[in-house]
Amino acid sequence: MAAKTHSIFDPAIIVPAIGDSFKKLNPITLAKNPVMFVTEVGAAITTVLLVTGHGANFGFQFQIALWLWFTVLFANFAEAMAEGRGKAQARALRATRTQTFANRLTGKGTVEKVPADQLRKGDVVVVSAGELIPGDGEVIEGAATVDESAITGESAPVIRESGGDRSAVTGGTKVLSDEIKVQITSNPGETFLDRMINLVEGASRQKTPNEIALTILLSALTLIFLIAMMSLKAFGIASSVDFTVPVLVALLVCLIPTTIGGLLSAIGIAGIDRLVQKNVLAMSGRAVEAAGDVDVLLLDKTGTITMGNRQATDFLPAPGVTKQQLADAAQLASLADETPEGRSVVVLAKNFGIRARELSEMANATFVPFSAQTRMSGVDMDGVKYRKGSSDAIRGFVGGKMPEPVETDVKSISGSGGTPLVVASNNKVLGTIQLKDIVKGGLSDRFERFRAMGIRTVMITGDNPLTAAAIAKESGVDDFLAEAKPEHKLALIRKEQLAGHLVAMTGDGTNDAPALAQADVGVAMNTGTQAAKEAGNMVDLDSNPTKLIEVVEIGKQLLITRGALTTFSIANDVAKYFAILPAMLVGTFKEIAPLNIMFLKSPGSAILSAVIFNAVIIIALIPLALHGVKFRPLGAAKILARNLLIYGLGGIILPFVGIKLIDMLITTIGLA
Amino acid sequence: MIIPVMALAGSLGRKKLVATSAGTFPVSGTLFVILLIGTILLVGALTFLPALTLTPILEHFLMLNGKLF
Repeated sequence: MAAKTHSIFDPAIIVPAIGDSFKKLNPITLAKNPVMFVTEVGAAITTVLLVTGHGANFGFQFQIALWLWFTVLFANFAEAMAEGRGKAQARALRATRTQTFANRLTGKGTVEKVPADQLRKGDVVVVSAGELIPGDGEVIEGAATVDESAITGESAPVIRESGGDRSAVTGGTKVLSDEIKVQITSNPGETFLDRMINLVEGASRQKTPNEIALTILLSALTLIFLIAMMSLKAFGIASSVDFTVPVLVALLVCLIPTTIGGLLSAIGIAGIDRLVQKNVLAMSGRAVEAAGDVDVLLLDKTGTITMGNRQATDFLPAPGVTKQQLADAAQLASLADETPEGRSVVVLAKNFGIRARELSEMANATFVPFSAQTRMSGVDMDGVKYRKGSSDAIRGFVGGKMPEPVETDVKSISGSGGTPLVVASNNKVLGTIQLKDIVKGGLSDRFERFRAMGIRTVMITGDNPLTAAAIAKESGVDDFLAEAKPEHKLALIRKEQLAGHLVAMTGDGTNDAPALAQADVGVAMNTGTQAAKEAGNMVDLDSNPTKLIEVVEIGKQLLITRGALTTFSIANDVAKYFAILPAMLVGTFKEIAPLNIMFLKSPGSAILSAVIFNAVIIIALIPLALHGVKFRPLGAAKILARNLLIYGLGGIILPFVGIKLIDMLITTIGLA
Repeated sequence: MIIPVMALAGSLGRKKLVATSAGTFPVSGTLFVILLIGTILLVGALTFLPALTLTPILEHFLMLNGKLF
């Protein structure tokens, strides 16, 4: 089934997370997070001083040390929770990979039954109706209907066939009818799902550029506060005020941005998590961040904007040619064409009484397959060259000129949004085949949302400009590129990137692979070829080209959440100063008491309250870190103003209330 | 102190330009000015307050009570 949202309070996730928090105390792993590392060192120092009996105030020192350890543990807990949820999502997806058996074809032509995880790249298996496909692969022979609900949650069966752009099958899906031969394309453990699971499981997780930048900022702040601390000690000596080490450590830990330091990794993991909930597998954290800044989206027409299986609907013969003759030639030229368009031409020709010829009957014919370069296909038989292809390809083939009625037919078909394919034999144009494209539903609304976010949509197609214009208008894209060969896509992406735009691309065919690799965010459809999925940096399990909207929103949300919590963390420091500084000085200088604006009970309780607040705020903000700040599709300035108000101003005011409440609580309980 | 800042500027200078769009934050508006001033004041205050409380601020309170340092 598709991944479902896990509630935050799921005990199955919380309990192991608690255990993990202790495991993460290991200083070597914690060193990756400078802020929490400093906190851990501080906690260790305080504990050592406590144990060696320095200082008289045992109860106070004990509580400080305790809460410092809690601060580190809470931060670890946040990260463990995020990882736990990610693992649970991944486990749900992975469970679809049940222990299946595969019918592997041996070299000798027999079939042997092997467990699915013994399959290796390059093995060919036969999957029949009712069986589960044992692993990710490509259909090399045959066609079948497949139930992919295990992966996508979509229960309507889809067709997977050899040739064309829908040859990729995923392990764990079920064949409903017919039989296919599948060539396995990945070794167990290397499928896209496994790669994404590794990403979430944190063992091999690398810091994304944004995380690195933020960590540098936090480290710089930590360093500054550390120096401020040490200079305070020096000032204290000069003014003959005794600042004890536990108190200084408490002040330091309260000042350094522990809130964001502890929650930073949790936010990043939660971002990838949320993508999985939308059925998108991200291959890298970088891609998610890049997605937030994308402003141009390139879409393939066939299969992405349109249904992808254009059907031949009519034959329009040239003057002097009968429909029969045209149908005959069209069928000959399409027999070796494995694309759905070619197949539909063969099917349509049957309506005109021409029975389907078998390939084996045509021993004296040479087939010319379709290529994206020539944009024609056909057959050379008995000295006659039959060709079918786009109007300008055929125009070139017959020597530069086509009869007027044929040109009119081509124009009228294109103008109505269909695709005309012209058929010719040697130098004679026989007529036009009308193919109709079906635009997928609901697209113009989605493109409107892209526009609202400031993203420009561009449709790319190999069709002629008239057809492309009609489809572009119907689907609502901002711009289109017609008669595009694969290298045009790449050139367009490079041009946009040079102009400073961040380009996202969705695609599914092998010819999309270079463009997918060049784009800043490359989303491959799950139904696409293996090459496309390898080249891109995200895989959309729903094969929905407009899924990028959700990806962009999650990318932006990720960065906004980090910013909001950083602001909150630093704004908190104001109140903590007002709590701790008077407490530190009032022992020697009673006059500073008016600075104690929260009227905290005693110096000890003031410092303790601040430390407790510092620890507890991490736990309190875990839900926010995991869910992300709510994203509203407004302009950047508006979002910033809004969030500054909530998290900046709120961050200044909230700790005053919080610390006062904690202070009242611990004095009534009598802990300080 | 100026060397790290120069290094920062150098690193930023080498980054590629991104086109402006609806998602860009304008650096010429009031919001930016307020944000900049606010951040400078906040971070400056947080850095220097510990030392400041011990000297000028303390002295102020002592003075109010008629004492000297």
